[in-house]
Amino acid sequence: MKVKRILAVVKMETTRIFAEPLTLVFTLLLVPVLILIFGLTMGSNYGWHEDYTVFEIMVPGLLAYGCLLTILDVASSVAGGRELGLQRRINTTPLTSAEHIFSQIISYTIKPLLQLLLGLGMALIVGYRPANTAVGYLLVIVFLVILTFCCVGLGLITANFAKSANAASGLAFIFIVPQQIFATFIPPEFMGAGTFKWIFPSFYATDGLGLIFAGTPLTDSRIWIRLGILFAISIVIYVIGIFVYEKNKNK
Amino acid sequence: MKNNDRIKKKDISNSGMIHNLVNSNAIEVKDLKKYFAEKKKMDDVKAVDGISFHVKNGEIFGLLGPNGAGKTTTINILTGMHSPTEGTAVVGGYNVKTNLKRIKEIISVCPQEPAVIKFLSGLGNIKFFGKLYLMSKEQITERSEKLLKLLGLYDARKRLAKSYSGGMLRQLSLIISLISEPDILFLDEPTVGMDPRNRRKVWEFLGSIKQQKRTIILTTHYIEEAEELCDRVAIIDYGKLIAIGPPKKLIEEHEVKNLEEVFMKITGRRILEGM
Repeated sequence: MKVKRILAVVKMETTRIFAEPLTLVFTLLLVPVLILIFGLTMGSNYGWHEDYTVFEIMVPGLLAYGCLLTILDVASSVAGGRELGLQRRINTTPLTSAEHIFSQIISYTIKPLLQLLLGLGMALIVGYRPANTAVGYLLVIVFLVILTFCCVGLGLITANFAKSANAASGLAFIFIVPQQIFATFIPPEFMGAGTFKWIFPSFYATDGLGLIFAGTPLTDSRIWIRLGILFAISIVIYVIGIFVYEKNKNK
Repeated sequence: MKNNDRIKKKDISNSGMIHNLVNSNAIEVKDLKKYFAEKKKMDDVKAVDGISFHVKNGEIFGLLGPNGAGKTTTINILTGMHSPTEGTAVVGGYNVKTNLKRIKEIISVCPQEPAVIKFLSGLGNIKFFGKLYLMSKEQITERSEKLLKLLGLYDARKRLAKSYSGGMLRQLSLIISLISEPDILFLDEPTVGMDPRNRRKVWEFLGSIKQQKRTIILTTHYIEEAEELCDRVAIIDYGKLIAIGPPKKLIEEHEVKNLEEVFMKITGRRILEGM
């Protein structure tokens, strides 16, 4: 893997993300605005779950939800590149698939991290007080990066079935909506999906983040089990994503 | 470049001849076939059906034929976009089946559609592709300035590509394919959709590249383009090679006025009928 090539693609993809400021602002503000609304209306209530306040469920869930939007970004980028013939052109250069996809992971991690910053900032403003340490925040970042990695894989899978960027944007919601409803900021039990939640990667990120924000000692095995499972699922999804990408990259 | 990776002399014979791949031929194609399975049809579509030819180093070689003749599929195989169903294709001494990575370092492709990144400027596009070939900043700057001036895009270099006209996008696409100074350049219908003035400009430009002894494989269905630029042409129809040689020689051999008539004499129809 050549760093120069990776940086070139990261720069190009980042420019793409920032090329449409309105879309960027909308996606970046989505999480903080939801936190603002939920936080101001029922932040400290126990309305959703007998053991957790709305804040404790909502903040980790919304941060994970922010990552899920990566599926949409990757799917529309790959399908759009293919639609314009750009993907084929890039495939005739020495850029390898590994370099290309690794660059995408880096590029698409930027947005969830900005969402983390803005979302957490907003949560603190509206009264949320997480009990974690500075190291805990690092672990939060690790969780979100791994979830983003997983979402890049899901984005690649989605792009496989889409003939255009627009179609990819629509199809991406097949992966986004169930995870959003059953395994992010709405308690799965609340949705009657208590056992169903285990199949969604976002559940492990949401739950892991919830434990960290609740001040659970970082040595607690529950955090690491969730991180381990999330990582394992992400690897599987990523490998499938690479496989379908390789199969269809010259379409 | 690891020359020892390249296929050695005598590895491939074409019509009984033995070519020194490293020294004389940029491309060797032997009995190349590409069949596509078509849904709802029993038989495969024979996009390329057993063609053999070679391209000498420094030659401008034209692949001529109507739409759907198999020109683009041939290029796609030579550039690694498709794997051949059967046969051998060697580019720059490297086999497309086994050494694609090396091939990608020495070739460049200007595709049929002007595949550029619309949200980057013209210069941004050139820089991006230059970096994929690991070119230094200085190399990219020097080479891009030269190419942009030659093709008349210098003043528009900082504009976003999405604001370019169709002709400008094609010119930018051509510049992108030349930024890495490839040994072998594939041009797939490079002037399609261009107005006559810009087409002439591109022809002059390609003529100047010819002086640099760069190998160019050009697909086109513009007869005058092939006649003006190509040292040799291969005429393809229904995936088969039906004639090959220098344009003048083919015209003389068939006792006609131009390549279009050569095609018509062999196939009984016009090249442009397929469009």
